[in-house]
Amino acid sequence: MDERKLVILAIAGEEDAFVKLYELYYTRLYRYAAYTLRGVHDAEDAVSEAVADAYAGISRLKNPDAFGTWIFRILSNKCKAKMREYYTSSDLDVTEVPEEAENIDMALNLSVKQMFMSLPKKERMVIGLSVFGGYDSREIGKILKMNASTVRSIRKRTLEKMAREMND
Amino acid sequence: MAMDEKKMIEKLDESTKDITVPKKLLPENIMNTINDSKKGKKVIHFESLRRSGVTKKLAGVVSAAAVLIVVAVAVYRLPAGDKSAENTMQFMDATEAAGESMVIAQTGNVSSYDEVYKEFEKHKTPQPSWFERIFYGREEKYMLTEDAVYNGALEMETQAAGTVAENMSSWNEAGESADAAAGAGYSKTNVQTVGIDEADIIKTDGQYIYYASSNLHTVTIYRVNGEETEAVKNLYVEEVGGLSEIYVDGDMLLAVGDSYRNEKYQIVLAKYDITDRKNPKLVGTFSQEGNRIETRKTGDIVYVVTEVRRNADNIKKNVPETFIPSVCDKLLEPIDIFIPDETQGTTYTVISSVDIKGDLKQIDSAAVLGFNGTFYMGNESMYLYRTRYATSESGEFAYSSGERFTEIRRIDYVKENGLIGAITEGKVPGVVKDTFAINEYQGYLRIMTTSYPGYSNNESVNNVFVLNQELDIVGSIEGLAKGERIYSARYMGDTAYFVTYRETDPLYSVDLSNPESPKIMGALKIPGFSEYLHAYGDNLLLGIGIEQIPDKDGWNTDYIKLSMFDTTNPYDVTEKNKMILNDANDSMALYEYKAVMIDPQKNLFGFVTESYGNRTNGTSNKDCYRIFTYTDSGFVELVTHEVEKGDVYGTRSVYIGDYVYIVNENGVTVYSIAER
Repeated sequence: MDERKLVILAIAGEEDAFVKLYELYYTRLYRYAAYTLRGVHDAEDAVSEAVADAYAGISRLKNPDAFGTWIFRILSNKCKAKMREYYTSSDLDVTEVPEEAENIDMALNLSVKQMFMSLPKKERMVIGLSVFGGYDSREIGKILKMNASTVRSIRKRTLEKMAREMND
Repeated sequence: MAMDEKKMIEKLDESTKDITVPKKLLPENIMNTINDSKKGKKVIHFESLRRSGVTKKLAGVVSAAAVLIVVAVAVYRLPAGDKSAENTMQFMDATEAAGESMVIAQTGNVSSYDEVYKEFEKHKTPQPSWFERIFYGREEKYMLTEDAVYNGALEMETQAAGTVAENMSSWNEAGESADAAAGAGYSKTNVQTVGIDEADIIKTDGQYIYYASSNLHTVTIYRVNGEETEAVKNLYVEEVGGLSEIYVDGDMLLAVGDSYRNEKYQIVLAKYDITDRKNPKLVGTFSQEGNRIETRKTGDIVYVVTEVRRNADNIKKNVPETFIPSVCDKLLEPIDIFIPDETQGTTYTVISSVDIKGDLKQIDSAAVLGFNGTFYMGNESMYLYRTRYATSESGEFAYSSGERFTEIRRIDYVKENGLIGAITEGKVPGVVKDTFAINEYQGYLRIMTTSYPGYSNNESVNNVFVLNQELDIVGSIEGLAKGERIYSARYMGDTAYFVTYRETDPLYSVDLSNPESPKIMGALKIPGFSEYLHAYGDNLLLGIGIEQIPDKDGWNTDYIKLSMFDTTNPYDVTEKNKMILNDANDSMALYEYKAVMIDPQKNLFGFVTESYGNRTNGTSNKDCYRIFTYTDSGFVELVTHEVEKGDVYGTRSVYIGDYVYIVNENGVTVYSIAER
């Protein structure tokens, strides 16, 4: 079924349409949250909060084509807030807080998955949105309120780094 | 993005797939979760109270749909005229699927409003506790606020309703060719079922073009004669509220609109006598409560389908208006109201037949409670269908056992006199992409669905089902094209064609000549996929779709693609010709079949395309209306008419003789197609 139509119906207050729309996104949303937050319980909370917010706010969504980026942005903000809770870092967008697992050089034989998990958080979000959201740099920029070129360079750097790790 | 980046992303995607989504977040539980999540914040809003009602409804929906097996029950109502419920003749026929238990659903009309009221009571939001009452202040205040919230929501609903209804039609219907128009020398609306007309924003009778603009609330009547066009009348249509579409039949113009009148959302028809095109006269109006789903016209009868939502919390026992829909501002009688056993929610689908010979008198009506869905009208019956979620009997969600299925209701009607008759229910596994995939033919209903047994899109399979009059499955092919899903479908008599998509575009042909034993005849794999199929003469099938071509960064870009399939031998279908429009990335034709002007006998078709501009090959970003013809050596683009960005959705065309008229709010442009 056409997503755009579902969005229009959902904006008009059709719960069924909202549920169907959610169905199109939920695995991607959950995977994104799980890998960004590195915890299934936190991911569950983040997704349910984000979906509740989306449900409460969908009537205000102006552009029916922007549902995907919109809900990923809500979820990204939830993830950021959760990470802030843990790390009490003031602003994720400007501060790259080093994390213990960041040094992936140490982790020989890490699976791709583990490599992913051990990325710094901003990188995890950028890559997560590429992998689970299928978004391009411009869209990711919108979601994370970053420059598209910054997104591109983060993505390139991170993916290259991961590719190197894998080949090692 | 570089290719190796893309590969890495794919690798990440692959290696992170094995994660299991918690139960709480599964689609069928999400409304409960949303509700809990709000409660967890310890802030109780009026809104969330309302929502708890909503959640209840949804929960009810899930458990009521507890059985996947195909059960069809027919309850026949005598035609209108005998208004006694006791005389309602019932017979039931249920088929039991092997090894599974059976639930018999009963569909029946009611004998009194009280029965309807009782049904609504089940959907009431629990009353607030003493604590909540203190919390919110006086109960009256709470009720008031509730009303305000609900009405606010409703208002918003209808604002969007116009758009919704407009959009609904695009994925709602299965088309048959406009071949019927052939010989008339001018194009007709591209319709779902030959012989059943549909309202549209543009109509022609060969001498005049009628164009309805919802922005301007006007129908513009152009007299056309070859290259000469003259606007003879700008008819301001105020009787119907928001003008949406029109019908034209001889000297009759019927305007269809959505309005808010007498505190109700209504669909309104207004009939004009246009014997004098310069001076149309209003003859009569018809109104039916609800949001417009569809209208259809056969001969002198128009069928009006609306969806009426009522809030169980706002009903009053002694005020039937609060829970009974009305047609022409008159409440429907109990005999016209159906409450199927598997009623889900408090939305009605209301169907009326209207006599358009006179001044729009109501002929018959039927309101089905608790069922709203997509509408398809064949020559014998009308159908509503919708997707539901299967659950196991314990109420637990069980993807493995059932996942999604499609519920179907058939509503019989008598073409000759407009009486609306029996209601029959049935179910098939899987999801219907659009009504191109559902088709009534010689007493059978054929449906193609995509089902997702493993709940992952990668494990989708496709099916073809043939259902008999009782909506029992009598023949099927299941498990086709694993991992792909149906993008477009078309039935041509005994043969069904469908296109599935993952990476390539297999066009399947299915032999349905023996309804009880459908057979796959062939599959053709080509790049891209068709979103719309249309029979083009006897042995050709036109596909309008998308081909994805990677740009220099490795991202796929969509381009509009035309395919001509040769179906001379259904066992060996070939793609005879194709054309990729390298400056067109999207088209209304993919979403709204009425946006396609097509007449295979005239060898002409046209539709509007949108361009996003292309960084790679530097093509323009112009939106165009294009007219094509087809020769043995391929497609030929006869006309490329640039359309302003804002006019894309309202630009349509008709042809009359050797001229094509491209029409939008700005007027008419004429192209001669004579020299081809």
